[in-house]
This record gives sequence, structure tokens and C-alpha cells, in this order.
Amino acid sequence: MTLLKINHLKKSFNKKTILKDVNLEVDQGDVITIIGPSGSGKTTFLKNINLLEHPDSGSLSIENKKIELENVSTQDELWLRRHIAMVFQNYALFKNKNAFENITTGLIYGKHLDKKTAQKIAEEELKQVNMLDKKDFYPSQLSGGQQQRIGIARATALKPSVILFDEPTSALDPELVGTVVDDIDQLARNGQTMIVVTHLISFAKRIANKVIFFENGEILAAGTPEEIIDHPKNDRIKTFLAAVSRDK
Amino acid sequence: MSLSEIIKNLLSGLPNTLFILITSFIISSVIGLLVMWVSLQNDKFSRVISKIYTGLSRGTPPLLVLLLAYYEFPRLLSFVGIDANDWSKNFFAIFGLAIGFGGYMGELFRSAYNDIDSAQFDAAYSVGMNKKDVLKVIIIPQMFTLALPNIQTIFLSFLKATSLVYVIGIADMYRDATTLANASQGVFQLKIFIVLGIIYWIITLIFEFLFGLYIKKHNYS
Repeated sequence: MTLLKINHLKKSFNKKTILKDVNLEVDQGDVITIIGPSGSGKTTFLKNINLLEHPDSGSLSIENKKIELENVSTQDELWLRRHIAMVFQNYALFKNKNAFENITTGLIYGKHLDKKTAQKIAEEELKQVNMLDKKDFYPSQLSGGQQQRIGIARATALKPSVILFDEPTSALDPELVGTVVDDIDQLARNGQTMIVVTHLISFAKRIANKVIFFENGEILAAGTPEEIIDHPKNDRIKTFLAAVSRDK
Repeated sequence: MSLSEIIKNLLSGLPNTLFILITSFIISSVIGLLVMWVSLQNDKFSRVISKIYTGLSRGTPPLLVLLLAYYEFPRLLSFVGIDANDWSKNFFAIFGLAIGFGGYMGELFRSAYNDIDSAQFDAAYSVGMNKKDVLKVIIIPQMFTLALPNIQTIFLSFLKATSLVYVIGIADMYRDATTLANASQGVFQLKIFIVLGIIYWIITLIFEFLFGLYIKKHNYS
């Protein structure tokens, strides 16, 4: 069943086209990983889905509601963000809130839940990521891995239809990548629909049922991990994968 | 003249000094936030208006602002039919100081606002918060924490500037000191002014301590 449908998404900055007519269908439970070179528009694509950046044109359908992206009302914008959560590359935890409040803030002010319910959910989410003992810690007192796990808990607490991950491991020290990858893996196994931008090819292959190769603001190829990563037909993808494995 | 007599006389003006200090500081902070908001607007007109006010506020000596507030502002009000002749002198002192320091506060808030990582806005919007809550819950608290060391500096400048209100005849500590010095034909002038300096210094230390406590409590970085 199609959960999220993106049609003809276009975005440009200062007359430079960043996203060229991108179309994507995401089914319930899909884990889609987006790979591709730096500057290809992957992050911009995610930010446009969540309306953190505003697309020039296109439409988006989710939960049987279609939103024209050219002139989105504030009401639709808020509605959309309650259904599509995001995990950021640099964690982006609220600096003035501790780990616990980082989760409750979105629930209270975004989902308008009462304080008690929000606190109950936050506690459960922190337990899920084994961070309950760090609930009173401020982001500056947590390691990168711990911050990212709170970032994931903040997103999942909202019970969104889709979670967008923007390079969730790229700012982490190598030894901290594992725990975050495991958390995302667990979410995938629980059936959470996700779109993950990543530079970790083995991770992209491991969690995804669909892989997208993004270049110059468009989807160059899409398919199963076997089709795109193991047996790519496109020469550009072959070159990219060879370069990535060489860098490792 | 004994030391205790001098202290007792000078401290009689302390409540008014503190009242003017705190009230004008709060109003100046509100003006500063407004100036910041106007300066962050996209249209050129708003930005020019905030620049002109900030320039005038920072470029005019506080003494002159106080004199203009006391002697010229009532005249301006009279043009719109408001008679301000019977208004309290404290009002004009507070108004003058708040307007005079508003530009500094605006610049201070603007630079703190610009120091906030744009990812903080993205994260707040991404959890479904509206603009008003993003500012109230995430941005303004962070902005205050970033601005706090500079707010402390301006607050202490405010404290010292309150001594200027004597020019419009307000009974503050400085006016008490000059009255007392004149009463003794200048014999105890040096002693009186040294005591006044020490009182200001002690008040400064107390406020520094209070700011330090607040900064320590709100330091999450």
C-alpha cells in the first residue's frame, strides 16, 4: 500500500536547479536508502519532503491527503510534520533542553499531548534506546552517539508515518556508528517506514528493501539493494561504488 | 561628619537608584527585543529604521538623552495634546535611560540570535512546533543564555548611568552625595565621594554574583 507519494518535486536556489522533477512512491514498511555523491541534492530532497525547505512545485500525498507544494498553508505544513519526522546529521538536539525534555518538547508543542502523557512516552522511548539513565543530561554532556540516539527517540516518540534520516552516522566517530546503526536496524525490523540518506553502503544494503541512487538533483536509478549495489548496470553507479569502497 | 552618618545619608537614595535601574533595564530589554525583531525583517525599510535608531542610541551620550527626555519629550507630547508637566521625574529618567540603552540591547540580542545554529530551527519545526512556540521554547531561551555575559556588562553600565539622573533633580545616591558635600561646604567632599564609590562597587559585586549564579544555573553548554 502506498503511504507516501511525491510527484514532480522541483527546487532551485538562485536560478540553480537543485531538484529536477523528483518522483517517489513509498509503501508502508518500506526502508528506502538514498546514496549518491556529495552535493547531489539528497539532503535538500529530505528537507523538501519535510518542508524545512520549500519546494518550487510538486505535490505530496500521505495518509490519503494530497498537498500541493507550491503554496503550502501553515496548517498543512504543521500537519505534514506531525506525520513525517526527521533525524539530523548533526543530531540537532535542543541545546537548552535535557535528553528527556528533547523528547517531550515535540510531543507537547508539536503533537499537543498533555505533559503526563508526553513524559510517559519519553520515558518509554529512552528505555528503547537504553538512555533512561541519561535523561537529565544536556546534549553537551552526551557523546555524539548518545545524542543521535536521543535524536532517533525524539523522532520515533512522535509515532510518525515516515521517518527521514539525513546521514545519521556521518558526524559520528567510527566506534560510535554501530549503536546508532543497530537502533535504525531495529526500527526497520519493527516495520517503521523510513527514508535514509547514508554514505555507508553496507548499511544502506543491510537495512533497505529499496535503494535509490541520486545524482544532480534527480533519481538516476532505483531498485532492490541487489540491483543497485550488488549488480549495478549503470556505469556511473559502478564508478561511485568503486570510489566509495576504495576510500574505505 | 561620621562615616555612619555619610552611609546613612547616601543609602537613603539607594531604593530610587535600584528602582530606576531595574525598571529602565527591563524596558530597555523590551525595546532591544523589538529592535532585534525589526532588524531581522526581510524588508529594507525595517532594517534601515532599526539601524538609524541603533546608531542614534549608541551615538548619543546618556546625559544628553536624559536631558532631551526631561525637557523636550513633554514638549513633543504637548503637540499631540498630552500634558506631561506633572509627570514624575522618575518617568523621564526611566524613559531616557531605556531609550538610550535600547540600541545596545538590540544589537546584543541580534548578535545572540545570529549565533543560534540554524539546525535548532529545523529541529524545532521538524517536530511540528509552530513559529511562536519555536521562538518561545527554543530560540529565545538560547538567545538569552548566549547574550547573558554581554547583558551583565550592559547592566553594570546601566547601574553607573543611573547616577546621571541627578541632572533632572531626582533624589538618587549621587544627588544625596552632592547635597551632603555642599552642606559641609566641601570639607567632607572627598570622604563622601569615596564612600559613594565604595557603595557602587559593592552593588556591582552583588549584581555580578547574582548574574554568576544565574549563568551557572542556565549553563547547558
